Amino acid sequence: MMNKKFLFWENPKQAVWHAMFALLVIGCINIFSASYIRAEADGSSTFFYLIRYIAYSFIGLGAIYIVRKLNYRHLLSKNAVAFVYFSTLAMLVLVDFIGLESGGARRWLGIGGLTVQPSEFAKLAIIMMCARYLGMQLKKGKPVSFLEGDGRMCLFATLAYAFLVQQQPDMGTAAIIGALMFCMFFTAGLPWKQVFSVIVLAMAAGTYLVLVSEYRADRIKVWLDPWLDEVGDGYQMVQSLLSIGSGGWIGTRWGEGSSKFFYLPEAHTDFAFAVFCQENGFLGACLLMLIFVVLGCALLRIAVCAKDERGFLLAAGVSLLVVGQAAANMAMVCGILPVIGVPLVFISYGGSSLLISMAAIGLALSVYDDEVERAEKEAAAQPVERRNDLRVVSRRWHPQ
Amino acid sequence: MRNVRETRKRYAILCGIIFVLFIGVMLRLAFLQLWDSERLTKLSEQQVTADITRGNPRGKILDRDGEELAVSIMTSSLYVDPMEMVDTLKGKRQQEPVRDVKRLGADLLAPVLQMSAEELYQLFSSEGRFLWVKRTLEPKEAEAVKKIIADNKLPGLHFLEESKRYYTKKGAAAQVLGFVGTDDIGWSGIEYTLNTVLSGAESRHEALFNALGGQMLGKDAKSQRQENLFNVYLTLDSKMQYVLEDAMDDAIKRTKAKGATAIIMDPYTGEILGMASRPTFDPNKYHNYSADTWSNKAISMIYEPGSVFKPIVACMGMAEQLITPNTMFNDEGKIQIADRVIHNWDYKWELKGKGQIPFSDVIKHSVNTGMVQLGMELGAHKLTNYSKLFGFGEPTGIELPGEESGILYKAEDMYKPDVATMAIGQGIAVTPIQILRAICAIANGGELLQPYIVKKIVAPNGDVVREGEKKVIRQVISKDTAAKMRAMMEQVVEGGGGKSAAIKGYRIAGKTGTAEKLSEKGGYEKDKYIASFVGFVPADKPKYAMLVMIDTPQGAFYGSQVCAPIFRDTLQQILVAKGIQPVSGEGLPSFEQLEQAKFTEPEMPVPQLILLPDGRLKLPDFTGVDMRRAAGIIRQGRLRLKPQGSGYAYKQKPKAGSIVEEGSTVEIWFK
Repeated sequence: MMNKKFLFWENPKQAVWHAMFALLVIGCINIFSASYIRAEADGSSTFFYLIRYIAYSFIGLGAIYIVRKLNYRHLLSKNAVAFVYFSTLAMLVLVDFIGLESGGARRWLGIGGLTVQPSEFAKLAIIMMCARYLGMQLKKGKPVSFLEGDGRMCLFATLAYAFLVQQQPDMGTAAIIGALMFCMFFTAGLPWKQVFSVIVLAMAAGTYLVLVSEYRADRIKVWLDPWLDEVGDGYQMVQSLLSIGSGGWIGTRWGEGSSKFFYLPEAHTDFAFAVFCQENGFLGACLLMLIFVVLGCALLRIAVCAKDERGFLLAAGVSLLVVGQAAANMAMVCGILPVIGVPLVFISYGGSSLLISMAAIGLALSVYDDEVERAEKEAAAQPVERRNDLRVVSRRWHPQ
Repeated sequence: MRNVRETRKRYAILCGIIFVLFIGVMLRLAFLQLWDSERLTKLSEQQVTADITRGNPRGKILDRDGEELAVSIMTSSLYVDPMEMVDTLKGKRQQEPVRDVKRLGADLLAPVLQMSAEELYQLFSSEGRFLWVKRTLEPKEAEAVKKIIADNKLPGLHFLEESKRYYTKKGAAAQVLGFVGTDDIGWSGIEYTLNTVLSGAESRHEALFNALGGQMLGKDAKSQRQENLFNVYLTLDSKMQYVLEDAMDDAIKRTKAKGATAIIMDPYTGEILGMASRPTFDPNKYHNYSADTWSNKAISMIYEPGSVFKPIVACMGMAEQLITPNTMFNDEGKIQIADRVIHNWDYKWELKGKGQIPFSDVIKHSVNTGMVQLGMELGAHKLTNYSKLFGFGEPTGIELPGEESGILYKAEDMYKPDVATMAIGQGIAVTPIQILRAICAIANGGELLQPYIVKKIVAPNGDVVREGEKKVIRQVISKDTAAKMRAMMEQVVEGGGGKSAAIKGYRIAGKTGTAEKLSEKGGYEKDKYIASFVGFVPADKPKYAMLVMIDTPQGAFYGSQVCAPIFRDTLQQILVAKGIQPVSGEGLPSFEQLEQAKFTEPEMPVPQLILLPDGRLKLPDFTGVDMRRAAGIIRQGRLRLKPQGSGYAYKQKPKAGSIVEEGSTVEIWFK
């Protein structure tokens, strides 16, 4: 079942690999185009961001290897999850005190020459934690709930993350951490009553926050119509729309887009998709989305086919993390959703995000490996019906 | 298992939401990129492109034959934005030591820019966002600075292109050309009067800008430099100007005068062919000279003309039919008018005067008493009215800044002695150009002309937008009067006071003049004279009219002694150079011989080839020699010249002192 043909590919694993490599290549090209002007202006090498992106890609490949070697079952053991959770928590605490400040927020920890963004790690930690806890509940046939036992603990553990991230301040990421946790619980079968309670509560909180803060209200206004204030709050959105719109069918020539000349803020990070759309046009953007959809479908296949509930939840969480975030980012960049800081994995520049996403894909692949192994074992354990009228001839000449 | 099916269902819901989001994005993109693309592209282009005004090089100033006198090239000017001059190596790369960019930049750039490091540091630390560091850098300097900026990643230092003016002939016609300040605005001379024409070449271009206001490098889009220049052709003749400048330098050296001026004019058209003024300056480095060197004495100096004015008064007498050249005058050596006794200039030895002489001799020998008698007969009103008709008392309107109008008494304010002295050119103040123009009226048959210096202005597309042309202001005297006057003035040079202006073989008319210098405080300055000579050649059908004026010569001070020889030497060279044949067939020195003679003077030794005993040649240093002369020298040694560029030699190969074989090639670079 698991290693059946998937679309054009032998199996979903191959599809994941191919999609990921395609995204990495597109990422390299787009990162360079979107960042070289900025890099030069900063007095750095033209290839400053590209080199780092490539370096993080290799670290990410290493992470995939290690994760698969370790096997997700080990990584979802009680000790491993606790380790991941608490080390991430420690980083989040540290970042609030000794984090590197940039643009009025402390989001990064400097380690040696590198910087890491602990809130990205938090996203993966949440998925692992939820997968473990919820998987155990499902296995035991127990109901999933926010209100009792380990469920409540999961809720508090997530809220602790969200609180620390909010302190940076980074409300967008805090919201995503909360949303990831909610999606995991929702998938695992959170009672509808609680689902609606959370939705109502979230909407009420959102409304409250918008009402008490003029700043947030303005952001909602410019989301609805960025042209109202195209030089002020709506500037980034307007610039993003101009970039996308000027792409047309096939885009400007590569590298010729104007938005990266400091017109579009965050052109190489959160708004890299706008630069991509400008330089590759509608067809390019559709291709990029198609790749994400293929990646998402392959991950979905891996999740759905997993017999182990933890594996299922883990793979499902990974697909939400990677593809869900991608969809959210694209929707924000083109103005469908209000802008909160979600990176477009593989296309935006961001080392931690890339590393975490690749590690997450590694976890999904591990789920696939495990499932294939299990299926093979199962098949081997089944008594083979011997047919005496047939003789196995091939075995003798097998190269092994 | 119900549990499991439920989870898959829930997961499918989430995946469905994501998929719907993708579809939403795709529809949105289709709207933005396909439906609304045209509008958004236009907006996007609009914000990126902006018009910039780019300083084009200033138009050229050329002489009548198209020889370049002033040209502009684009140079880079360095400016600093002190706000940008902070260290950018902060933030993410904190481990790198923070540099003091201002100090570093100042130390590195000081030697290249020839400014002190402290001065630069002060500049880099100033308030504001735009400060010039150094303007119009030489191309080599600019290259060196650009390299330093790039190598050290110095922020905040930028270049703007600005036009820089070069005067190819150094100081030649300096006061006529004037000069431009660093803002490319003409400050004097033609540069000033025709500033709008010459610099009107600032053009607007479309350029692409980044959001910080910087121009996008390598994205030069549609902007191409338009050579949007109006070129101004002057009536000046470089060759004559060169001779004139030379003569002026020579005159100043010999007479140690305070100042001097000389003008050559075409008496039939009013074109100014040459105009020189001393003291002078090099417009390339105008700031190294005091401001009084910038003024053009030919049009701005006012002085009493003295005897040079006599032919003009004589014309008045003939026009009023009071005299003919043959009218007899009694010269007693002095004449008393009211309480004032007026002597002849030679009263010290010609005690009794010349007795009965015809009027032509009054002019010939510049007899004051005769002129005073004529003046008294004319009276104050006729003297001043005719003077006005001859163009005195008002600027000539030549297109040069700073022209004076001179001073003319009101007739009703004149006492008898004033009338008497005016007849001998005192009590009237004129400019050199006014005198020359009045004499030209005599030369050309009575037409008072508007002198002009702008021959034509040529638009970028080659159209002549303005052409200077002969403009007759009025017929002041009849042709007949003018002819008689020319004949009398010819006698001055033939055998009278202007003998030293004679050129063998040519008919020359002229008049000398010497006057006490007017004091700026009023009255006269003691023992300070202004000597002048004005004349034209050939006397019967003049081609050139010329005035030479020397302000306060030391030693000899009479116009005949000081100015007439300059007139002669200058015109002689010009006549030969212009191929104007002498009337009598007498042999004349060739132009080369004259040139040779001039350059054998000690201060300008002619480089000579030295013939060695073995028949080989030793090369001299050709620096400063023009191509024509270099060619002559090279020819002497049967060598071959390979010239590069034009102008004056500055480099040669083989080097000076090298020994070469006959027939070998010598390469010389001129500029």
